[in-house]
Amino acid sequence: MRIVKNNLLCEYENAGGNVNALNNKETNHLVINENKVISSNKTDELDLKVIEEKDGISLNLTVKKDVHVKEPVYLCFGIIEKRKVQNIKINMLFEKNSSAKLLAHCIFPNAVNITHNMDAKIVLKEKSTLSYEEVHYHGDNGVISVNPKAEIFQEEGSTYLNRFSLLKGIAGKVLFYYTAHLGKGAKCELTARVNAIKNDDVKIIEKALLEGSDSNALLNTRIVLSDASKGIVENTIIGLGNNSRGHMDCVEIINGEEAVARAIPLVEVKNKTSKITHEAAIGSVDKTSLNTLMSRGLTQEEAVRVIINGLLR
Amino acid sequence: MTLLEIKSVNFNADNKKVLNDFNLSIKAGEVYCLIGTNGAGKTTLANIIMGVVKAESGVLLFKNVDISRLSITERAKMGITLAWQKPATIEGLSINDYIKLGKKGSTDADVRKAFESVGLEYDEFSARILDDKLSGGERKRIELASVVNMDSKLVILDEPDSGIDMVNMQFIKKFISKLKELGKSVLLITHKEDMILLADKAGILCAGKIIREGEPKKVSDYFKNGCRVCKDFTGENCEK
Repeated sequence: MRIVKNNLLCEYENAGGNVNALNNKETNHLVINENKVISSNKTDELDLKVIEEKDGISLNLTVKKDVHVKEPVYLCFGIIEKRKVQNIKINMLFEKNSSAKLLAHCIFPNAVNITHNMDAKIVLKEKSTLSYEEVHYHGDNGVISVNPKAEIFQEEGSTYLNRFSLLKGIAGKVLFYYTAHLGKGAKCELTARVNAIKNDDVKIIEKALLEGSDSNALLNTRIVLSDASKGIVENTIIGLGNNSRGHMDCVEIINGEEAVARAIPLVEVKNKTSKITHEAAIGSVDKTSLNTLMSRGLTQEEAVRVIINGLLR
Repeated sequence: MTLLEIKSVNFNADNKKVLNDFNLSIKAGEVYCLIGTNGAGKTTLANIIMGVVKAESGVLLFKNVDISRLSITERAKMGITLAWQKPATIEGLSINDYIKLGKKGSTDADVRKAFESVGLEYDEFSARILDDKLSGGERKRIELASVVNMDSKLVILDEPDSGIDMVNMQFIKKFISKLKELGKSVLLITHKEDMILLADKAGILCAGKIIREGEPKKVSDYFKNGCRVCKDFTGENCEK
């Protein structure tokens, strides 16, 4: 059955969502408006159970042993209403040697007072791989509170790749809180990109606990702060396992007179064979890059935009 | 016809006269090589011409227009550009997009042509990001490709030969000849004698002034035999 585009799906398309994929029976998808399932499709590749609750949904997703989901799984969590609270509870289990790519859009285009909470527990069994991308698409005004929280448990040789981006509209009040526990040989990359404007208040907390030997984590954060926005990045990597490796890389650019940026990296090593590095750069747009682009004929404003767009890519 | 004329420019830094009543004239289509020892003020001069820093006094005329108070952007739009000694990296920006930035309406074919002029493979480099994963020599050649894709009249090359190997050096030498073929004026800043021979005219910067100027070979010989052994750096004794 062909999906009829409603307001949410129109906005989903505007946000870069793949509406055509929602019409493909070979593709898994789930579209939620507030606490209602608007559309869904499930193939034999995974188990997907959704329970509609008072203020949101509960989602259980399992990928069975040795199953590799071919096409991306498209998720959309939206609120078209102006005032709402949406609570998303997610339980994901990737059994041994399974893999999938999830592409989630969180869409709040008309927010006057919206709260979106996500609480996820993700278990990646031995040699499984999950790539999870979450794209936020917000309106230009209103009060939005976004609170994605996830705890990821990675067993031996598993890989978790997470990319969170909030680049369209106001960010609102954001508390991004992810914790990954890495077992032996597990690999984790947490990437966050946020463009904060007006009075946005963004807090990114990412923790990687390198519990297993040869585990490896990368925390990569980029925030651009314009107007009177605030950004705090509290990233933590703790090296526990033999030969575990971690690196955190945080850049916050201040592009507003009243904007404030803060980075609090915490690096802790409890094993003499573990090694963790960190780099952070906080401040205005790099002057050398700016001068270079201006010497190619760009105005200062155009040059700043090129640098910022590159950084948030 | 004179393209760039610098008259009586002064610039101080850290209580030192970096440029002291400095004068320089570059003709249209001319390759002018400016040499000098480390710290002579060559990069400062490049920055002053580009507008990155402003001279404390004096006049800069470009195509007979006083550009002394113009911004970097305004100077670039008039036809001046600079290939930096230490080219910037810009996270997330593809090399293809970077090269196109210098000329509105640039196509992939233009980028390909610019790459060819510096001996870079389009398919290998165009989609790559202008970040620190590029080697120093690659980044320098990309900087030159970016410059050649502009409709510039005066190209300032600030030590294009520094920190690069012999292979890259050959490409840079060919590139300078290419700029000349295209009719662009070049201010080539270096402190390597063999680069001087690529120029139509050369000058030695010392103590904030051009202390010797003329035929490249003669200037090169003077630099090699005189400046390299000089302990003075006042520019006074050699002028006598």
